[in-house]
Amino acid sequence: MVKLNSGFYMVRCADKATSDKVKSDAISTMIFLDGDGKEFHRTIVGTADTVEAAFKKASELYSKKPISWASGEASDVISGAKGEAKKLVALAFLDEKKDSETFLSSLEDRWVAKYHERMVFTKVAFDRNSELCKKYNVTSAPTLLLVNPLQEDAKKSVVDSLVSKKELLSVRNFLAKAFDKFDKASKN
Amino acid sequence: MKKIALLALLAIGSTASARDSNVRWMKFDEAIAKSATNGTPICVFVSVNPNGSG
Repeated sequence: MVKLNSGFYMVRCADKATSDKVKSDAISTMIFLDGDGKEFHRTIVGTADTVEAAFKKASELYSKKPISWASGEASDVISGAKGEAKKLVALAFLDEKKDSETFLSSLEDRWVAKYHERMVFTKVAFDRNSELCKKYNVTSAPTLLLVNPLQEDAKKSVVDSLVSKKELLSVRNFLAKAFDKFDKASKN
Repeated sequence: MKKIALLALLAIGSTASARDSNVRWMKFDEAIAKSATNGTPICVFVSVNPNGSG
């Protein structure tokens, strides 16, 4: 039999404290939370089939997502993104080395996939002597710059940057902090 | 409703492999803390609901 629950931390809710935290409203409910503790699926189950379906649905909803790269020059992508509400341009300076590969894998992970819809991804081949690297002061790969397309000044347009970090936790923390900062600034 | 919850609880156990049919249940706060380090999703099963039906 397939071990469907192996990819989840399992919690049995039978006390008021946990019940309050997950806002449980019915017995025999399965509630799924992501790595940020945010609920992404909830369903009532009662049979082996419905339990299996719940695990499958949760695994589908919380899954790795490939990056959809924008085509064209970075400057054109930034200009084109001006009409995209609440989106940032993600300039990924990459090379052929293992660190860039690991970084990309982290960026596609299920934990950070929810941020994809808020970014327009542009892949840039890292060359420290290129105009683009000089413009944004990029000196190593992998580097991820989150650029506000509405800001004309190149230096001021960088909301945040992640340099030489490739691990999933670093990428997740970076994106959470950067979008929090961007959203707060957008409100003012 | 409690009977259904019991059946579902058994079903959750039965989705584990035969060699490892016991589910490792964690405390909610422990699961949240561990999940925040690696992104592993959490499944909360409401077997008793002090806030509502059942």
